[in-house]
Amino acid sequence: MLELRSVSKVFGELSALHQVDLSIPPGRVSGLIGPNGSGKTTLVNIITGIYAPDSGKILFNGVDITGSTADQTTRFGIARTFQNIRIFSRMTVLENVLAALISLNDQSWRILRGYAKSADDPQLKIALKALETVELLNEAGVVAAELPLPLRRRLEIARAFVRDPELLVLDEPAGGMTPTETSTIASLIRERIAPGRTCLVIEHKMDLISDVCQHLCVLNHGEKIAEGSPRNVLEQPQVIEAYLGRD
Amino acid sequence: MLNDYVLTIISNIGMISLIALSAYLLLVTGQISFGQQAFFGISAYAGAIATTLWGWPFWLALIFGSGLAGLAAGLIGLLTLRISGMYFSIATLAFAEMIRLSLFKLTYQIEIDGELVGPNGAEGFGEIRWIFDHDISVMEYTLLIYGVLMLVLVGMVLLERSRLGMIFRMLGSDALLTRAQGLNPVRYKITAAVIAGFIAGLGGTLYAHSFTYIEPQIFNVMLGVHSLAYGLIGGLGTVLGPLIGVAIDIGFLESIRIFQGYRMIVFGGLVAVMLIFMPRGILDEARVYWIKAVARRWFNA
Repeated sequence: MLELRSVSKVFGELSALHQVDLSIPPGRVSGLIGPNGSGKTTLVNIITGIYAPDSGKILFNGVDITGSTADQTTRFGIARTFQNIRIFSRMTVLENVLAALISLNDQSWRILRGYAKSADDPQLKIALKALETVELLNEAGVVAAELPLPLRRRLEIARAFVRDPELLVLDEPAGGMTPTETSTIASLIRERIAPGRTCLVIEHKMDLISDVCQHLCVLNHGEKIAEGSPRNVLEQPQVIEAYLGRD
Repeated sequence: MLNDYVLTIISNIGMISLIALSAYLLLVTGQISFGQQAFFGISAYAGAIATTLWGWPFWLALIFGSGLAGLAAGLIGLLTLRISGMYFSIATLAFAEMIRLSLFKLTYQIEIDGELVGPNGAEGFGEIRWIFDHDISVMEYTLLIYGVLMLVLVGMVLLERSRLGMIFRMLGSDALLTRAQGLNPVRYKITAAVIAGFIAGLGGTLYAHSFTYIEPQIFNVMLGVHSLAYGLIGGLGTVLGPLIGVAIDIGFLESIRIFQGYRMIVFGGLVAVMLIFMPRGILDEARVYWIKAVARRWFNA
């Protein structure tokens, strides 16, 4: 599915990622964890085309997508949410989800046609179904800026998976949430979003990671220090040391 | 009946509305341009040259002038691709000043009926006599201006309801997020620039033929600042927003005598107040959604 080979990224004097190898198997939920500043978000930004790596290769379904821009990676089939929630705040909840479907038509004259106005519009049906999945159907007409944080996270998730991407990247889906809200979003991911989908979840909260991930990778200081099943990985001394420090 | 003074104000509102709509379209895509007056000016000169010196029909001159303005706007869009925010604003201002100063050097005169006619640098371009030659009354020309404005408004309403219009709004909200939806912002920013340049151009050719005399000084930075402010006052939630801004400034402040001496002070103060209390104008997106929801409920009831 997704393979990173010796990917490195340097910002000025700081080596954010150093020769990271990573493999995301298809049809499973993989987790990416690591302490603050370990390079998780840089890695996600490289996978999704926001940054280009300084060296190394990224292969997606065997195709070299190294250096692709964010719009190109989306077209390749990778969709994402953001650590700091990004929504089209002045648009309605429904329009936010429709926004993700627009590029499916942007190569043709249909770009000038009205967007999803009639009830039988296929894109409208897909968008409403996505909102139903994340339990936001009742908020479809609400301006996105008016949503509370947990519902904004749901909206981001709906917008990311509505295109039915081959790889769904969720960057801290429970960021800023209470334990109850985290538990709810974990159930949502496990029961409604993840089945039949390849996901990469970046998260600090171990209970969410243990709950939803079948495969785990740990970064520390820009380097991969462990990879495997969550139970095995979380017991490895170098992972415990990265999180808790040395005795 | 309306007298010529009132008609002139009404026609002025119509023409300036076009440049206001042009600046508004760019504002919607998140680009603050201080340079739309350049495209207004390019078209004013090009359209007037086409009818006065080359004897072209008015409609052809209108399309020629506006097309040239759209082309120039696309070119500037290409050159400013990699800059945004304040840098983009400064670049558009610099370009507009470059065009205005170039017009001071533009001399292109042809002898017509024994007299030299055409742009002559700082002296400007007079004898734009299309409305006199065709015996067009002020009322008829005002109707023509509003006919063009109506076409543009209908076009913009359709645009706002289209996928392209939605992409413009997405860009205005968050360019990176728009890119993450699989859309290349570059293409749409240039598209918006060309459309906006064309709309400003329509106003320019209409303006030149209305006033029958143009000079480079007309297309100075204040015209650009005003056109931008109209959208910010009237609101960025609907195409009617900039028209409200124009109506407040020209229809109210400029035409009512007691305000005339204080127009710039009142207008400047109004812009400052609006930016503090209603940063996206009177008819911003939230109010437009609210109005639509109320109208829908009322209609259904």
